[in-house]
This record gives sequence, C-alpha cells and structure tokens, in this order.
Amino acid sequence: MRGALVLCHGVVLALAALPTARGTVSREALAQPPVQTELRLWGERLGASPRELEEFVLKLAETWDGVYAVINRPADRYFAWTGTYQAWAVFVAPNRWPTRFQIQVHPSRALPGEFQTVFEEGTERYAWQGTFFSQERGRVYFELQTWPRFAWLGPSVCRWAARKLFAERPDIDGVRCRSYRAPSRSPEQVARRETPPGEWLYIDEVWR
Amino acid sequence: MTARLTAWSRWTALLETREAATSLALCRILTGFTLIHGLFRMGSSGAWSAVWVDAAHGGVLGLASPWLGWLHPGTRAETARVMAVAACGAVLMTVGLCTRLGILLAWLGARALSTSIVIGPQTSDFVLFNLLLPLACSGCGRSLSLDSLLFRRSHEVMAWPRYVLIGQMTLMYWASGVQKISSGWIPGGSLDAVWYILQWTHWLKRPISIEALAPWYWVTRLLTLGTWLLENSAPLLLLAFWYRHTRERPGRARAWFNRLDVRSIYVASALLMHIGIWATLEVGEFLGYCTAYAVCCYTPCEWRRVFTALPFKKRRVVTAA
Repeated sequence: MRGALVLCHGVVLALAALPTARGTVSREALAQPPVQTELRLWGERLGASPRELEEFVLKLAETWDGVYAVINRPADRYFAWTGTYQAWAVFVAPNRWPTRFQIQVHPSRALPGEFQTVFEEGTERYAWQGTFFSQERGRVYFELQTWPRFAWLGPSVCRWAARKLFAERPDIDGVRCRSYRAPSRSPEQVARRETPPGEWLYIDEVWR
Repeated sequence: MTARLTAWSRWTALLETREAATSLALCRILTGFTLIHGLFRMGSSGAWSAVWVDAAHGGVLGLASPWLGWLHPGTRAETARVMAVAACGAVLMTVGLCTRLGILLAWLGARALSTSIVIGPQTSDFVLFNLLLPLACSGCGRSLSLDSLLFRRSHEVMAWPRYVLIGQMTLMYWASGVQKISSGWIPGGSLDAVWYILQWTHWLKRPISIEALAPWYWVTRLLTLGTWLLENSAPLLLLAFWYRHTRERPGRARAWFNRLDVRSIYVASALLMHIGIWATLEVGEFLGYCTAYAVCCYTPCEWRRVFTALPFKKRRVVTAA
C-alpha cells in the first residue's frame, strides 16, 4: 500500500512537472517586444522567419497544453488540496525589454500635467512604500501587468496607491502610475555608451 | 512477471528502510525557520496588508474564493489570524514541539494565504508545499526537537520521506531547467541570459551598474551555461544516489561517480547558484527551502559525523574528560 502511494505521488508530480505554457501563449502575448525578440533570435538560429515560428509556437502550445491538461486532469484535485504543483517556471527567458514602474502624485495647486514622483523602481530617492515594493510579492505586480493576460493589474495597483496617497496627503488631487519600457543594453552598446530610447506605457490616472 | 515482482519487492523493501531522523529533522528546522522568516518579512514590511488583505479592506486586489471557509484571509483581522496559524505552525515545526500538528498548521496557514491570491501563489510557495507534505508524513520530530526530549521514543524513522524529498528536488531542478527555452539560455547561442536578467529591474535586489558589469560579461556567460547545465542535468543526481545505493556492484561509471561524490558536487553547485541568486535577486525564500532539500541528500550517519567534527562539540568532550 505504502509502495503504491509513494509511487503514485512520484508519478503524479513527474507528469505535472512536464513543461507547459498553461494557456499563457496567445497571439497577443507573442506580439509583446520581449517575445518578438526571442522569436527573432530563435529564427536566426533555426533559419526560420519569426512569423513562421510564431505560427509553430501557437500550434504547439495549443496542442501540447490540451494533452497536458488531459494527462494531469486526474490529479487536479490532489494539487488543488496539497499545493504540490511542480510545473512552475522561473526565468524561462530573460526579459530584454524590461519595464520600470513609477508612481507620481499631482499636487492640487500644480499645473495640469505637473506630477511629482513618489516611487520609482530601482531608486532609493523615490521610495514611497519601498519596503512593500521591495518584497517579491510586491514586485510581481509590476512584472505581470506588462503581459496582456494580467493587464488589469496595472489599474488595480494604481487605485490602491491612490487610496493610500489620498489618505496620507490632503494636498494632492491625482495619482499617475506608469512604466518605462526600454530595451536592455547589450555589452556592445555599453561599450559604445549607447542608451536605446524607451517609452512610457501602461499609464493609469486616478483623480480625487 | 517475475522480474516485475522482483522490482516491486525491491521498491517496497527500499521503502521499509529505517534510519535515524537527523536528516529529516534538519530539513524540518530549515523549512520552519524559512517560513517564519518569510512571514516576518511580510509582517514587518507591511506587505501582508497589501497582498493578503482584500481590496475592500485596504489590500491591492480582491482575494480569490476561499479554499477553506473557516480559514480565509479577508479583513486585516482575518488575515492576521491566518498568518498567526501559519507562524504558530512554523514555530512548533522549527522547535519540534507537537511536530506533526505544527507542520499541519504551517501547511494550512500558508496554503490559505497562497490560494487567496488571485494571480496565483509565488514559486517559493510551491517549493514550501512540496517540502511540507513529505515532512508531515515523516518522523522528522523524533530528533533535534523538544518532542524527542519530552517523549522517550525511538529515534529511528522510515527513510522514504527523505527519498521522496530527494526525488522532488531532482524534479524541481529538472523542470526548471527544461523550461529555460530562451535562445539566451540554450548552449550554442549567445548565453547572455544572466547578463539580461541582471538588468531586469523588477527582480534586482539593488541596482547594478551595467557599465561596471560589462568587463565581466564573460563571467555572466559562464554563469548562464553553468545554471542551464546544472538544472538540466538534475537526473544525474538520482543516478548518483542509485550508484551509492548499489556501490557493491561493478561498473566504471559507478566507481567514478562514487569516487568523485557527484552527489556532493551537484548539491554544492546548486547551493552556490542559490547564494548567487540570493545576493543579487529578490525571488522570495528560495535559498532556505532549497537548502532544506539539500540537507536531505545526506544520511543521518553523515550528519552525525559532521556534528562530531564540530569544534564546540570537541571542546565539550575535552571539558567532560
């Protein structure tokens, strides 16, 4: 009996550990700059166009995710209870287009469009709620909101920041959250002192 | 049929193995301590009220539907109660008092917190639950614990939970490795994954000057290759254990694996990788949980040898003499 149970646990975990996209692959997700860069780099290695690769990836992910779901369905309840799920992924690919999250406030007496930064990722100067945002569980919001599937996270984080800031500072009437996206620098670009331009994205504003 | 029966009886015989509880106890202590550390960080930073409290009560997001109705975070008081259950379990587990109950409480509390997050648990949560289940089924409270001082019970326990943990550790590294499919990870390409990860602001513990890092680009490439090889070669760890288990059998590979102690090389490399990640990136409680897995790779006899070699132990012996 013990032998069968331990074997069952091992097999179930091993099957769940098989790689899976878990429904994260979509045309929208593949259109994101980090994925497009990956497709281009793989295309160069394999001699295929990014477009061809994209179609292949979409088909493969759809088929394999279906097979994966069928294989693992009998164990769904086991994982739901025990939490011993194995197919999580860490740093599947480096993000060559990282974003930097920023929170700004608009003083009531300031001109429209004149915002002051209170939080910016990776800086010590702007560190409002810095201890929370320095935690892994805080940082995950910034990362996930840049993916179409979790785009709703951005406005939620901004609404939360606005609630807190409005309570703390009666002198402000608006909060703006946004992310700066720029491609990471290659060693060659660093040597040439080149800084590729970026752009502000995912802009959310909350007014009192 | 006979061969299958033999394999089955070998398997069941392996699971009947008994050993001292030291390795499992060390794993228990590290897991419990890491959980306490994680909860303390969440509590002291105020992150708990943003992450585990419902948006209606001051949190960032609405919480997912309850996993357990009676133990669900929601308001600040409800969340504090669930955290207290997890912390209480983690403390009992670490000191080894009512150990199994402690593990159960730690699992209940941590599970209730992780399932409440609508974007899903963090990866370190999965590592924790994978550790807690075999520990709950083991006799890890029979050694290095208050239970062992209070109750006179045999220090010998079933070894299979330790084997399960070794298997899970192998699976964890392998699964993590095969999913690293970026052209920056896979050998034959640019091997620049670590270089770009060190520019990924979201996960950096503190900003790294990329200009200062540039002369060390070749090191980041070696680290990329090393990480990929380490994770994808995880099945070698199982092979190393098999060769240790059957050391009396012939074979050059077996002799070579045992002479080099491939197991220790693998464990040391994995821990070095985790220390490197811990020093540069903020990815949660991975170092503690992975160290808890690593201690299971050594038998209680090996740990006893380590303890007797400790300097304070020697001094005590000298004083007693």
